[in-house]
Amino acid sequence: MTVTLLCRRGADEHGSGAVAALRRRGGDQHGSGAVAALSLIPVALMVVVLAFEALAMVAAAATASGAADLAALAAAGAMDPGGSGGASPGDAAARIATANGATLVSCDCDGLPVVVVARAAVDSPFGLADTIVVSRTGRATLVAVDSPLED
Amino acid sequence: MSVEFVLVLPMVAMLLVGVLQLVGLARDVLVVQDLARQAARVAATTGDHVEVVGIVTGRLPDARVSVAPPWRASGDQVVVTVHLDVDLAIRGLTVTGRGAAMVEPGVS
Repeated sequence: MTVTLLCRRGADEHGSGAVAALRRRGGDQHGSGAVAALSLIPVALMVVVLAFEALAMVAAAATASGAADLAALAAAGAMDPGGSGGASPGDAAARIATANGATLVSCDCDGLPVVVVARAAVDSPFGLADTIVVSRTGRATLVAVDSPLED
Repeated sequence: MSVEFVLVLPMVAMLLVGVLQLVGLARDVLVVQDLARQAARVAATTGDHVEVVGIVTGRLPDARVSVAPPWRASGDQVVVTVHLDVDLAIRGLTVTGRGAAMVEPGVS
């Protein structure tokens, strides 16, 4: 180790030729790996943040989709005179959509098939997607048990 | 270059493991949510508690399922809640899914 240091010092002091220039050039690259490594950190953090946000959006879409389907089924069931417990189809759809973590946007409950649109806000962990609302449509109809293939 | 790489490598490995665990957790959340809604749908069409629980435990044997109300009639709102314990590298988590449906006519 001592010998190496002495040799380098000697080259720095006395070497003004090509060898010294190459050594100086090689010395300029020291630390470039650290810069690359440090630049990797924000990129990696950004990837993690975006992954969380994307997953929150996927979860919101699943919530809206499930809520719309079940709300449409509830509305269709409420169109049966004895099946709603007294609630109108629109009220039944709104109640079920809310119970599934979504909000009823619209309910085309005048006839069958019932078409329901529900939306769910993105529960964004980092606040980047807080303003995004995902909407999904659900459709349902009543099928008589005795004639299930009636179109 | 190699020294810096060796220094950064553990961090990159931890990040990779974290992202993989996050993906697994997201998958569990979606599966639990989906099963809760499927079970709620079944609960809306039958009064059979075992069938409702079987929808969930058939795919997630370790999941805990609760159905409320246990006795239901047409027009009631039935809520199925599914809890699943998930072991992550740092700590354990309980993933919860909830599905609600209106009990259909003719169910008792």
